Amino acid sequence: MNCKQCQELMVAQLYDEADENTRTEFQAHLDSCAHCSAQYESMRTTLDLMSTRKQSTLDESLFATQWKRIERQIAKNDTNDYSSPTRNKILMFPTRIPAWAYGVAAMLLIAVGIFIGKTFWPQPPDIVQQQPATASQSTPAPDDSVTTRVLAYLGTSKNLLLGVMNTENADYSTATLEHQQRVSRQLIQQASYVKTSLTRPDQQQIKQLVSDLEVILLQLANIEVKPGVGAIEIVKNGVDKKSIILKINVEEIRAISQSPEIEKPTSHNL
Amino acid sequence: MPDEQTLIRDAQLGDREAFRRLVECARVNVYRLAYDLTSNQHDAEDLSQEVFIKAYRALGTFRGDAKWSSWLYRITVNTFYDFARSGMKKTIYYSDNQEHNSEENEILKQRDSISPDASAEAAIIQEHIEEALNRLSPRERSVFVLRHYHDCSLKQIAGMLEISDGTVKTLLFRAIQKLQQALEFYRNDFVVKRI
Repeated sequence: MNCKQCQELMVAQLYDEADENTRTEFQAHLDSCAHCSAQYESMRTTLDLMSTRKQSTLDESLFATQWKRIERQIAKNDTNDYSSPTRNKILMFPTRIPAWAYGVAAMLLIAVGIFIGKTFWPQPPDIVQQQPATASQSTPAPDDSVTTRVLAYLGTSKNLLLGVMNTENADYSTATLEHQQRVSRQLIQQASYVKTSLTRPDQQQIKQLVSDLEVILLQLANIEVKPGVGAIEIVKNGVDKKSIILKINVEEIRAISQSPEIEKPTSHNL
Repeated sequence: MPDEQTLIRDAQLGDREAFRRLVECARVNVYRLAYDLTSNQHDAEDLSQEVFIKAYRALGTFRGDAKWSSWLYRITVNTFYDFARSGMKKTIYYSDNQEHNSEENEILKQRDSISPDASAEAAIIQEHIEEALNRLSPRERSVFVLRHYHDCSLKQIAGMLEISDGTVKTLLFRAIQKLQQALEFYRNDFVVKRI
C-alpha cells in the first residue's frame, strides 16, 4: 500500500468501516510511514475533540406550539385530494428558481414553437410545378425565378416543335406522335400557370407567345393517332406562320442579356 | 401505539393525527440534525418546521424503499442547503456566543465536581468547535455531522444525499482536515483522553 492509497482509506479507518484485510494493510503502512502515521493521529485527535461537542437539547413542552405552526402551514397548501401525487410532489431541490431559468425556458418554448410550425405547416410547394395559382392567391415570385420558369417552358416547347418540324411526314411513326402528344398535353397544362405568373406590362409580349404556343400545342395534341399527311402539315404550317421558334429564340436571348446569371434553359433544367 | 409503517400509510391516506404522531416521534432527531447543521437554536427550529411541512407535502412520494428517518434526514439536509443559499448563511456563520455560553453554563452548573475555571475552558472549547464547524461548506458539514454525530454509515450517507461513496469520503476527509486546521491550538495544548 502506498501513501495515496493509505490516505484514501483513512476516513473509513477512522470510523471503523474498513474490512479486515484492508485494516491489516493499512496498519502495516502506518507502522512503516511516519508521515501517514502522524496524519492519521492528528485526524484521530481532531475527531475526539469534535466528540466533546455538547448535544443540543429540545424543549419537549414546545411540541404543541410547533405542531400548531406546522398544521397551519399544511392547511394553507392543502387540497382535498390527499393521495394526489401531483399535490404531494415537493421540490427536493431549491424552491427558488433563478431568474436566468425563465429566459432559458422562454427560448426553449420559442424553439419548440418554430419546430412545430415547420413540421406541421411546411412551406407550400412551387406553384408552377404543383398547383394552379389564382391571381388572388399567388404571391409574386422574384422576377428571376419567373423568367427562369418561363424560359424553361419555352425551351421545352421549342424542342418539341423542332422535333415536329424536323421529322419528315413519311417518317412519322405512331410512337413518335404519341410521345409528342403526351409532351404537348403537359405543356398545355402548364401554359395557364405560366401565363398567370406573367403580370408585368413588359411581360405581355412573352405572354402572347405562350398563348400562340398553346394553340399549336392544342393542334398537335388533338391529331388522331394515325396521322394523315394533312394533320401534321397543319401543325407545321402553324409553327412557320407564327414564327414560333424564332420568337422563342428572341425571348431567350433577351432574357439572358438582361440577367446574365440566368442559366440558359434546356429541357434538362425544367 | 401503531407502528411506524402503519402511521405512514395512514398519513398518506390523509390521517392528520397519524402524521402528527410521526412528527412527534421524529422531531428530536430532526431538530438535532438541524442544530448540528446550523449551530443556532432558532434556525434549527425553523429548519425542522420546514422539514415536516415538506415531508407532509411529499408523503405521496415516500415508497418505503428507504427508512423513514433517512428520508427525513435527506429532506433536512436539502432544506439546509436551500436555507444556506437563500441567506441563512449569516446566521450559520455567526456564532451566537451568549446562547452557547448560557446553555453551556446551565449544564455545567449541575456538575458539582467541575470548577469554574474548567467550565469556562469547556465553554470556550465548545465555542471554537462551533466556529470550526462553521468553516465547513454546507456539503462538507452535512456529511460530517451525519457521520460523526448521527452515526450514519458512509454508504447510508451516500444513499441519502444521492452521491457516490467516493464523494462522501472525499467530503469527509476535507471536512476533517479543515477542522484539524481550525482546532490546531487545542490539539497541541489540550490533551483529549481517548477511550
